[in-house]
Amino acid sequence: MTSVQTPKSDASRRSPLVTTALWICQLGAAGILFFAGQGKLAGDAHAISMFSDLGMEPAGRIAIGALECGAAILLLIRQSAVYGALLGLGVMCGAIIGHLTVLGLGGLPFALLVAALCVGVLYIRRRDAPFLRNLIDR
Amino acid sequence: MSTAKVDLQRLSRVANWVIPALAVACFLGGRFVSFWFHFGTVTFLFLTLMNLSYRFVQTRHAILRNFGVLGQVRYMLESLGPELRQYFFSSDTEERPFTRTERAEVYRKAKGIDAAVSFGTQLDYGPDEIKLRHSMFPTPKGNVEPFRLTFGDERGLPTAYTITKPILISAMSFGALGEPAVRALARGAGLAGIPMNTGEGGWPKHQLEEPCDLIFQMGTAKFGVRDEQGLLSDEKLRALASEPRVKMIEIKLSQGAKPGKGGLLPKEKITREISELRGVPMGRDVVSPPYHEECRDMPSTVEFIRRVQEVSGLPTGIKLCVGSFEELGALFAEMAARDVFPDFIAIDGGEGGTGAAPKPYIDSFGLPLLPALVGVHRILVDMGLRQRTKLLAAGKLIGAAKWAMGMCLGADAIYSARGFMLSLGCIQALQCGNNTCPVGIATHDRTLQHGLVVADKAVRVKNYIEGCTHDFESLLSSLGVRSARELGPRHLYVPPQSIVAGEVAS
Ligand SMILES: Cc1cc2nc3c(=O)[nH]c(=O)nc-3n(C[C@H](O)[C@H](O)[C@H](O)COP(=O)(O)O)c2cc1C
Ligand code: SF4
Repeated sequence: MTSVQTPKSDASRRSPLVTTALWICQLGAAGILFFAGQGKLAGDAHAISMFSDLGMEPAGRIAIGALECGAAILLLIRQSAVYGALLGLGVMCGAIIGHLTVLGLGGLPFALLVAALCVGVLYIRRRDAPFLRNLIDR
Repeated sequence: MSTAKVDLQRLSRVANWVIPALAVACFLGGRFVSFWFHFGTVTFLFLTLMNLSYRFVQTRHAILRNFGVLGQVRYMLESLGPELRQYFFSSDTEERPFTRTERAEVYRKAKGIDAAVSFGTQLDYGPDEIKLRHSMFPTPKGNVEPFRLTFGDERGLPTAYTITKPILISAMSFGALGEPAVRALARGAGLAGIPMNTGEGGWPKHQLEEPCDLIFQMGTAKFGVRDEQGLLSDEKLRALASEPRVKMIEIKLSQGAKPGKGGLLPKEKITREISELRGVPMGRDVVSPPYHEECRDMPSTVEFIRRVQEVSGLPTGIKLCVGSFEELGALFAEMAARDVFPDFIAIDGGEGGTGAAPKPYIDSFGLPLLPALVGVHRILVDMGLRQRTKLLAAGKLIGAAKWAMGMCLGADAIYSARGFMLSLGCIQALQCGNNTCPVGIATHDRTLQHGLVVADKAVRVKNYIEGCTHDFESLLSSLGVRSARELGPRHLYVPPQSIVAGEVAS
């Protein structure tokens, strides 16, 4: 077959320190995302008022909630963590835009924190996914 | 590629602006129309970053450097390839001149991935193909002698040149290839310790700036060593031969892709640099004659070889594509009579490659490599002249098994051109003549050359050479021989209907 090679993951070459950092990022991001996502899905008063301000109630609230929960689940599975991080980062970028333009700066630190954790995951796992590897291969 | 032709270059230039513009537009939409637009803002923002990273951060993938995210679409199609192609496009063994399977093997070697193939061959493996015959008693590893071949030793030249790998890079001119491709090849050849032929691109300025041994090719227009009339200038040849890294001279009599035909260098293509390196004036078309003005018949041809040998003081060979064995027999007889032999004869198969040639010549002129090689070898043996020269063979010999087959049929070493283009990342887009090569090899367009990172591709060239040489040694062991010199027709299975079958039987 002429199929693409699957190179060995870098997992074996990671130092324990980096592995710990990786799991802190993954668990932290997943935890916050899941908490936020399930709140939106369950219809918290806070979430409803936020999405009313954005003019996306209820469809936007449910869509974003689902994306957040999805990202959290993906983040917890080793093979899909990069995709979870990418999705999480995307949703957080949206959140940052929302806070900067409509909602006010109150929720911004949380969004920034999750975004940073996701970037951490992407950075540490940069060799795991072909699309990331292609971005930086030198 | 077998898909419909799209101008990826223009499209990607548009995409470079359109993607960030869409991000901005979506942002404005999100701000003033509906927050939903911000889904687009984020997506296009990511795509913009990705595009920038592909184009300027990574250096490994020429297509991505040149076309950014649009190039990625091509990669995605390729990874879905086996399934898609099976139904919509062409199969793994259908593409020409090199099948996808053949190309994939070169790419793997070049990337240093040593992948075994699983389950079985993708070829038909019918009885009508030439195959190698292994021995029941392979030579133990370590007993296979390292490869060595010396050019010019019959003439006792102090400048005799020895190669230690069975492969040489065949002629590809600066002109047909762009500067980065030439440099990457030269650097890779230097790293692997094999010589590179300059092609008829004139004075090898770029090659000389890289650390590799060179075989200077003198085409019929004698670019680089011509006088005003387009004849050989002894003085310039002497100057060239005194460059320490120019090790051999090759007089090109004809080329497989366009035997019996000269080329035309249109004045639009003659940049200041090309004009200087080739020694031709700017602003005028330059015609390469179909043969050397100095070689009007057999005696003058042989005398011309003698002249180049004497003036250069280097091992000097000829390159030709075989048309008629009678003519060649007469040429060899003349050589014997005058006791002048080229130090090597490179046989170019009619299936050979080129930057550009008219279709009838590419498709229909010249003997295919194997019968040509077998015939020349046979004539030389019959005339008792075989030991006076070395035979090189070129024509789609990519990979160790093909090299071994060539050597079984009489070659002393192998010349390859397109194999090395593939190792540089050529995707066989077949646009070499249009200056639009998407991976920056056969083009002088700076924006396309951006894709080809010399340091990176040089390593791939080296890997390819070393991977194949390693395979070659293990093939020798499996064939039960100690050195490449022992290879002969008896190591081949040649189907009875093949034109070279008679040779193997005898
Ligand atoms: C892009 C390109 C440029 C070439 N330029 C020359 C040249 O300048 N002089 C020459 O004698 N042969 C030239 N050739 C022919 C090759 O040296 C070689 O003889 C031929 O392609 C057969 O080898 P291959 O099947 O390994 O490619 C060129 C081939 C290619 C593909
Ligand atoms: S145009 Fe470039 S990629 Fe296409 S066949 Fe020629 S060298 Fe290869």
